[in-house]
Amino acid sequence: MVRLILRRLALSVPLVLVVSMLVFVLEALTPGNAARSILGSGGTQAQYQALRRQLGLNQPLVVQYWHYIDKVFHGNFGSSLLTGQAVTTLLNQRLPVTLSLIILSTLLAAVAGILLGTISAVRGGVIGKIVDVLSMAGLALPSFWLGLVLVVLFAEDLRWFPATGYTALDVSVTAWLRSLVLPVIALGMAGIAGIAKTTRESMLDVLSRDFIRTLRAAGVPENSIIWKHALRNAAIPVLSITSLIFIGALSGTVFVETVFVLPGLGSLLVTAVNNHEIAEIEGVAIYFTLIVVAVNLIVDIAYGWLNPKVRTS
Amino acid sequence: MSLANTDVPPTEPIGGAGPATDGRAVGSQPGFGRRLLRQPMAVAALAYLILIVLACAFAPLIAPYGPYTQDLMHTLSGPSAQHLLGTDDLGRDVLSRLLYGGQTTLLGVAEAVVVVAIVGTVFGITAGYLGGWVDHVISRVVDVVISIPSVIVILGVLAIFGNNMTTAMITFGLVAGGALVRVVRSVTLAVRQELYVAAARVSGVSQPSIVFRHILPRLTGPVIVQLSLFAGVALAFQTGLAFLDLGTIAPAPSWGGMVATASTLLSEEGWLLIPSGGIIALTILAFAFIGDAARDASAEAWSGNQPSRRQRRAARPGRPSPTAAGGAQAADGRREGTVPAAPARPPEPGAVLSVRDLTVCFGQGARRVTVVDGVSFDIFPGEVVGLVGESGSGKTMTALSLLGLLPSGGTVERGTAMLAGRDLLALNARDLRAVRGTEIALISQEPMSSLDPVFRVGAQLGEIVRCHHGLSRKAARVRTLELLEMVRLPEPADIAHRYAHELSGGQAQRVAIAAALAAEPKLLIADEPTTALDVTVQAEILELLRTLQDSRQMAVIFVTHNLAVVADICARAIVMQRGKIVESSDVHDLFAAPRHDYTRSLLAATPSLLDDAVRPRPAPDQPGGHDPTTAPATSEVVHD
Amino acid sequence: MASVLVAAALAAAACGGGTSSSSPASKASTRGGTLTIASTGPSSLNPSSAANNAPGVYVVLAYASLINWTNANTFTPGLATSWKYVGSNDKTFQLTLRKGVKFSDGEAMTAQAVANSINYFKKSNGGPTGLDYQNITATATGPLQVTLTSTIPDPYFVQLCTPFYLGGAIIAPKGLADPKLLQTQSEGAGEYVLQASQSVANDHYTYTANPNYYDQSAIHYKKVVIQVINEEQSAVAALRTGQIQLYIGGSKVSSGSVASAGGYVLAGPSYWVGLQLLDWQGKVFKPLGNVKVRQALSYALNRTAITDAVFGKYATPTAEPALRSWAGYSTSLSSSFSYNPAKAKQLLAQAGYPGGKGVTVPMVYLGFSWFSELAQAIGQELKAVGINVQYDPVTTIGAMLQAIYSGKVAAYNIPISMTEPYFLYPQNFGPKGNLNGMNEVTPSLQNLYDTAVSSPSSASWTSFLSWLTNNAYTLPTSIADQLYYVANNTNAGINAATGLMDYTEISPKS
Repeated sequence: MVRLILRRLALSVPLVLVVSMLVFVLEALTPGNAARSILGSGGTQAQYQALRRQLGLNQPLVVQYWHYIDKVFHGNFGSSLLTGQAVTTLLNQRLPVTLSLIILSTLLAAVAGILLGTISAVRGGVIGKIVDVLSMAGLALPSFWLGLVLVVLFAEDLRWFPATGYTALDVSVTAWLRSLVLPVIALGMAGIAGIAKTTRESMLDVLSRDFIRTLRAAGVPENSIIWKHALRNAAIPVLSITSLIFIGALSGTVFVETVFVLPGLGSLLVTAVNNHEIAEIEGVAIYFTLIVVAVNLIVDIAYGWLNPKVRTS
Repeated sequence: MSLANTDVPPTEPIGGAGPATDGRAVGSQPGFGRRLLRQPMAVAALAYLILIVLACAFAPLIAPYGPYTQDLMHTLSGPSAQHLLGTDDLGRDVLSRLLYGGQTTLLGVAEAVVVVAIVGTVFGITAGYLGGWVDHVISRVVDVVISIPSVIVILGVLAIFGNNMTTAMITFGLVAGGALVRVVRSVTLAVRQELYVAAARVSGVSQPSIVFRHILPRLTGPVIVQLSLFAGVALAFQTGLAFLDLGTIAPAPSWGGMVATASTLLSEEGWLLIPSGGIIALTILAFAFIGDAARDASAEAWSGNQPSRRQRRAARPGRPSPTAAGGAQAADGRREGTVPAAPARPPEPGAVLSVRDLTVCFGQGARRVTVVDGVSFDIFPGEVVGLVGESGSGKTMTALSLLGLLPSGGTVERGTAMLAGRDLLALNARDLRAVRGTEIALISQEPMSSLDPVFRVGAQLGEIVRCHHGLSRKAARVRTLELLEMVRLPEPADIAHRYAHELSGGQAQRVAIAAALAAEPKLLIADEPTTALDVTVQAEILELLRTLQDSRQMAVIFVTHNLAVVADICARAIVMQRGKIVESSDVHDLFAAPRHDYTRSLLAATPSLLDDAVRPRPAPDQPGGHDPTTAPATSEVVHD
Repeated sequence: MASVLVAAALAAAACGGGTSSSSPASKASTRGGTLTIASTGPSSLNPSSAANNAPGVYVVLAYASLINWTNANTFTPGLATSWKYVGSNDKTFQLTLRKGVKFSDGEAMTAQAVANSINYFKKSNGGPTGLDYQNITATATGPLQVTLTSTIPDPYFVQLCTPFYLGGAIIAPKGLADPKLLQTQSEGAGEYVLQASQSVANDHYTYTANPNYYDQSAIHYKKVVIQVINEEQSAVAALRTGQIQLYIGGSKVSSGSVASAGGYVLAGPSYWVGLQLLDWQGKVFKPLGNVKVRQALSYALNRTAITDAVFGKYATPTAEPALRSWAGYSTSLSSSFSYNPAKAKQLLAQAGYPGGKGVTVPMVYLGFSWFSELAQAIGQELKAVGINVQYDPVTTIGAMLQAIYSGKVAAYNIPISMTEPYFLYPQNFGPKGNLNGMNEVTPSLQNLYDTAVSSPSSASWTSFLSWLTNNAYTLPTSIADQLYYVANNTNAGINAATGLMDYTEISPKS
């Protein structure tokens, strides 16, 4: 078990390096750069060149990358070229928003998906078909489109929830939740289908196994068989796909945070790409990768907890 | 045997009979395509996709207007005769823009799908087939690639290549191909192992070409499933990029871009959100349906749902089953719901279990198979009766049907099984659960897989104990340890703390026995309990069973194909062949004087017995067949 | 007994403090709570880099200006209490500063500080108006007196000292000493102070009332939050749910829902838009060097239809690059080049490009909102007469400028406001003008400009504008309104002459 975790951590280091290098190279090759953005419409060509030199944008790629990585290892992610604000500050301000969003939406997808998948596996027939259709509907509606529809229906017509914006958790728990309900639904819907399908298949597979028959033969109540024994055995592939959905939600935040005007890492990424803010793009890339690493680690630990064979071997 | 159809009860190895019969596996059976098309949703989805692709491809021919033709006098008009889906903010025809927009959108999806298909199959097959360090390297790379948040890479790529959608989607395919690599790799591994085994048996050499001829067909199913599901994902992603004005920028038409336009006009003209979002949703749905159907088509041979309760209830004797409503049908094994069953003998007084005319079938319509055919017998308290026969004789199905645990697809056509005055086959779910464990119990063949692998064995036993006796946790724990002692497991506390995979076969079987006997049933069904164990362990388990049975005066139905075991432990034996009982008698008589040819041939196939037993001779008045009209003194012959 | 005395003493102290009409405490108690404004994000918080076109709300809140330009279209004292032109020829301008003003950090304002600030601003760190000060130098000519001198006659000194041109927004010495500070915090003498700890860049910016502001009664809110919202639909939704009280922006696509969202629309002509050309001498795009080709482009545009489609009732068509209130505006010029595609084709043929063959116009524009619509509308009209229009949408001003300087585009569209011809020429057509991407200077136009500057009159400016229009150096299509959506519970107004809002006059309705 400990070995597994260590192995996972060991894999993470090259992952972070690869991602940061990839992003750096991609960004450095882009035709535009931040100097022009900073100068704005009043800048002259001479000022532009001077600024480029000042920002170190005319140095060879490798040198730039080395400077960057060196600083990162000292906890300095650079600063925004446009506003001069430390990128770490920016990232840390926006991280809780994105985390809230993806954790809640994955939770929604997992709970709904597992419920629907189990019911579909156990009942089959018409209910199974209805469940299939429902979860498919979630898959089919693109998150940005769904977000818009939700805004029109719930925020504008019914006014149950705010249309845009985010309230921090420490300001008010209810306001925080309310500001997240619509975005979480928009982001989580697509995941329900995948989790429901996987739960269903996994449950069907587990329910056909010997030990289920043994438990039934021993007279154990059906509820316990399904929700305690079968589900726990079926959990591993479900966990796999849940972690994939969590990681997919990271990409989805780019769209959802834009539609709902949430100050998270996804919306930061879009503006950073537009403004060629390389430090911010790098920062988001690294934070995203770290989130992925953390998720994989948690999943590995959960595997161990769910599957005793992994623990004891 | 006639079990080559797809609704095979899982006593056969899944995936068809061994390599000797058919080297091709389930997913590659010629029926895959046909099976796919049998599902109405798949057909509808496929038709829709073809329609959309053609419509968009031929947009220049069929679109009523050009994609940029603007009519500044008629902006934001809703659907009308001139503009079937209305116009946008610059008076451009929505329908035309959808058709032209579909070109870039669907092309982008196709690019990503093709890249994934190529990357997935090439690297998956390479990794799975070659194994070793190649596999290791590829798998590590896939691990890393799958973990990269794709959006970062793609946005970066878009920034370089100036919003070139093709590059973006190809990149997306490269980053997302990892999942398919994993799937293809695992299928390749499975096939390679199978074929290796087969080839080793047959020729000792496996040719790569044979492997490819077998791997690729086997891959069709899973690959189509993954690709169709991915197509939906790719479409959602592509339209998302276009929505953010990346990849395809106005005024070039694209589905995602049209959603973006609609979003800026929401309060003015909400209608525009419908055609743009609608076509995206429908197309994703179509891909998902096809993926689903492909998955069902390739998994059809695998076991499906648990038997629905309706299936069981249909098996009440004398009542017409719902599917048979509509009158009598041909009498060749198909349902006879309204035809009254042949009159059965009444239950023997004093019998623990009286089975009359039990008939079990699998499948429906033309593929229906009768696995138990009109079986009747009685079991008396305290006696151990062997239910003997080779694979496919129906002995296990007989036993399982008594507990209502037939695998999916199995129905009890007719018959009764009276236990303690109630017909087991007619019980509702609640009563059946009450009976299981308390009156009748089961131990099965594979001890390791008959225990829940994720709970400690003590916990499982404790749960069983509690659900029958309603004890507190502490009391249940005490009882659990008692049970473990009863089955002669040394250090019961240590065993209770272990998981199933930490026990040996013998230990696990003892635990299974403890579980079965926890509620002190009157009748125990032992389904080949020693077949999977070592010979020495077998003897121990048999000894244990004999002791327990004796001390509790519990009746046991011992299902087995092994006559040596029958000789060892059973007092009586019932021989089954092809679903019917062919002989039933005292064990001694059975061995000494088998009446039926089949019994004789069974005996002949057991060499160890031949040395010890008296050589069988045919009964004087029978040329070797079983005479239904005579009633020999010491055996029971049952009508069918 | 002692406690009663103490209580009495406390009460007396409280009463004494509370009746003074100028104490911050009493004024603060009549203030509204929080005003939330929705706007696009600032590219920089440094007043000299702020790229906002309309008066930068981010700047106005925290930086007081020398002179205020009210919604009633009057100029009132700000940091300066009086001002006048000195001498002849409009080259010298003198301001007398207010006594006792403190910057937000407590430092006292001096004439030298003001002069330094203006001189810093004119160094043009990228803002759209920096170059408007390029001929001006500021000097401290007394403890509270600042003199501005210009090398060329400048009739706009007063306007230049208001928030609308940004240069009059005085930056504290602390900010000038370390301009990097200005990117994340405010160092001004304005009504509010930016609270960096309560702000998230590009999402929301929080300002709290400045206790050092010289006129506490003028501050109408305890707190102002600017919420960055780029989509007008989102803004309307936020208005509806009461999250914001003012949205700077808007257009016909959402203006209809403002009333039902609990607000009202303020709109007034504020800027002209259209297509601005770059290569009048045909150095890169040869056909555009021919005046007939350019005129053909102008005739090809159905300005009425374009204006209506893109702006609805919030714009009027025009062919002249000037607002009605600007010097030199002429109605006849405005309605010249009426839509005539046949004539356009004719001119093209006469110029040697029959059917438009060979005429390529790569066009760069902001790829969102009405900028995109306008560009497409114009582009399609040009295509209809055979011009090969190439669309090059970008997402930021920075990227657009990149393209303008690249020499690869022939046209662009940016809304031009507050740039009367006096300012328009240096920026767009003058030598090294910041929007003169290919740095092409035309002597005849230069002469007309120089004449109008040295002897300004309605006629001279009209000559300038006529030449510009008739030679189709730019292709305006519309004079458009700046829109504001205001919540019903909030008072706000706009200046009818400029179409722009004085943010310091916003107050809660009681």
